[in-house]
Amino acid sequence: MQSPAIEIDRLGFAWRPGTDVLNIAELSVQRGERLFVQGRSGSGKSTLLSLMGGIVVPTRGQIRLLGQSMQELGAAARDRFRADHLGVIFQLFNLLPYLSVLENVLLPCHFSSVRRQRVLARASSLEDEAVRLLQRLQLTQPELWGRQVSQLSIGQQQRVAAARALMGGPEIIIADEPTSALDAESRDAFVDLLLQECAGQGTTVLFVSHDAALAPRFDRTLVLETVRLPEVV
Amino acid sequence: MAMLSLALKSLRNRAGSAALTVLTIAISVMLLIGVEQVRTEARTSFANTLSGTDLIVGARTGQTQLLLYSVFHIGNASNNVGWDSYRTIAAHPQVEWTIPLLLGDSHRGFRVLGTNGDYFRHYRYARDRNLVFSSGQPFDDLFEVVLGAQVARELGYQLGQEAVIAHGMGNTSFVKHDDKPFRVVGILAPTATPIDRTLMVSPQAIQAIHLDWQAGVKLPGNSVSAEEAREQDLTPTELTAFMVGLKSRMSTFSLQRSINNYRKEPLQAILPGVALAELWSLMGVAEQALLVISVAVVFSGLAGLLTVLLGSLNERRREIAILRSLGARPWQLLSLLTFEAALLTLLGSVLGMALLYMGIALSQPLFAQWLGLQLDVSLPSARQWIFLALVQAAGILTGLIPGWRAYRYSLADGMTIRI
Ligand SMILES: Nc1ncnc2c1ncn2[C@@H]1O[C@H](COP(=O)(O)OP(=O)(O)OP(=O)(O)O)[C@@H](O)[C@H]1O
Ligand SMILES: [Mg+2]
Repeated sequence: MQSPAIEIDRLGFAWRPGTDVLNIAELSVQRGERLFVQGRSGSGKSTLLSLMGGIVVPTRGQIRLLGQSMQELGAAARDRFRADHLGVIFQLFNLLPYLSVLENVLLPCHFSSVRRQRVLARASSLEDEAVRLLQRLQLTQPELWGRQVSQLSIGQQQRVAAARALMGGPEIIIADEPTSALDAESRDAFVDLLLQECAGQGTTVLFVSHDAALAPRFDRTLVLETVRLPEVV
Repeated sequence: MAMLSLALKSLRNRAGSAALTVLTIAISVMLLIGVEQVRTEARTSFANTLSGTDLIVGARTGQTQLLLYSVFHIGNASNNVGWDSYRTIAAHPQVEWTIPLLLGDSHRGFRVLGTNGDYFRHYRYARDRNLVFSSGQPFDDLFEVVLGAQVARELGYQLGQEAVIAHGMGNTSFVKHDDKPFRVVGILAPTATPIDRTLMVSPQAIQAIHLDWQAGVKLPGNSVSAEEAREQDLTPTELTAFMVGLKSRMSTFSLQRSINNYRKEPLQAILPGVALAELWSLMGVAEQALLVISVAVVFSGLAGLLTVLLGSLNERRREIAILRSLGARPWQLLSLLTFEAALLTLLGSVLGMALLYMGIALSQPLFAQWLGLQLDVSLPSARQWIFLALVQAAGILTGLIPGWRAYRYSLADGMTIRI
């Protein structure tokens, strides 16, 4: 049996010693599962994503992605792991302004040969796959693909970011409030498109938002409480 | 590889500010290398203010002082050399030629030099260049004069015109030798040496204009006319100094020693190259100051580079977070910014050298004519390469500052975009 996508075991994290921002006793997310992470501002949602991405390591406890313990990897290996297995969508400003839409979507393949190979295993070229993803996310006009990213609407930019996160079929997609700048209609459309495509690829999704209205679209919701005091056991 | 093409695309996106930065660096590099080139050339040309002459002989003073008054016509000799001693040394078997120098008179603020035809044959300046006549020829007759380029230009003298030469220095000599006018027979091309500001006549002419003078006072009553002067023996009794060309360089030191030990009067023989080098080292401070200023200009250019890179860094903090989320390593972000600085510096240096060469090509004739400097468009000298390498290294070091900040951001920001 495949190992779960995400396993957390008595995880604790503090940016500064003594002041924990995050405490998660136990969490297991299956592959292909879609998890909604909800919590108030400052509850440590973004911090959790940094831990998942391997940019920081837990102060206490364990975090395993795809069976791989993050602490056991060195900094370089964690960067490599992130490049190979994770797709990230930010709240805003996801795209490099000096690249075209298409070039932005192709970016992950520059940083990960694993993802490049995965694309080439099922598509005839990297560009074909990028175009396919853009079309799946309803960015269908070819004219749009070559555009400067600054000429896109916010909603379009977020969909390009989603296409980039999906490029090369990473096992896990993490999204940090990607819909907070969108109106309700485009928000729903964005989430639907993203989840649809992830379902198609069997991708695990970790979607962070303070917006509880989105929760029903996900398999499960994790509510992060603001940690007040370090727990004394 | 990915980072490299990203760096280039990112730079292209900021082409405007990048071009300005490159231009700033280019101008500072142009100045630095230009100053260095002029400095080197000035030193070489100075060291060759007088070339081909093996010894300068004068009354015993300091070597710099002898050089100053004999070659640069600055100051006056405190003592003269007897004509007999001059003839004796000129007759030495190792001596090929001699050029007598009789100084002390002036014409409307310009020095008058009494010398012979060998002056025009053997005098060499600025890397072995001969004196060239822009018009006319050397003096032949007693009352003929050859003018330096600046003298002719400033006084507006033409060939064939007459000039009155006064005894003593300065423009306002209260008595002038107005009874013996000289005819202009030659005008020299510019040399950018003191010769440009000099009038040249024969030693006999100097003697002739002093006939009716004694101890600096005009003898009353018995003024000697030009025609009467021709009748007299005009061999000078003294001269200021003389230049010696030897048959073989090998004998330079032995002749120098025997002149320094000359028994009949205290004489001194100096090696022009050595004396010129010593004089140059006295002026080295100004030269160093020039270099220091141009180095400061390079630093201000690099400060501009730093400002631009740091200024764009805040905006690029997002870019850093995005690249980081894609798996870019912190050192890759450091090298992204450092590479940018290195590239801008390199482009600046290349452009600066191009501008310099263009400038040299355009101003070459002016430099040659007005400063006597022969600037060439040539590959950078070893020293210039070192300067360019130092500029490049400084550019890279400058890039490390924003690079280091990018590195820090990449670690501190985690998986969030901070604005
Ligand atoms: N890079 C950092 N360095 C130090 N402290 C940090 C850093 N990032 C976050 N923190 C702190 O950790 C706590 C949790 O922050 P985090 O960004 O994870 O919250 P969040 O749940 O994402 O909030 P929001 O909904 O406002 O984005 C906050 O108190 C914050 O000040
Ligand atoms: Mg957050």
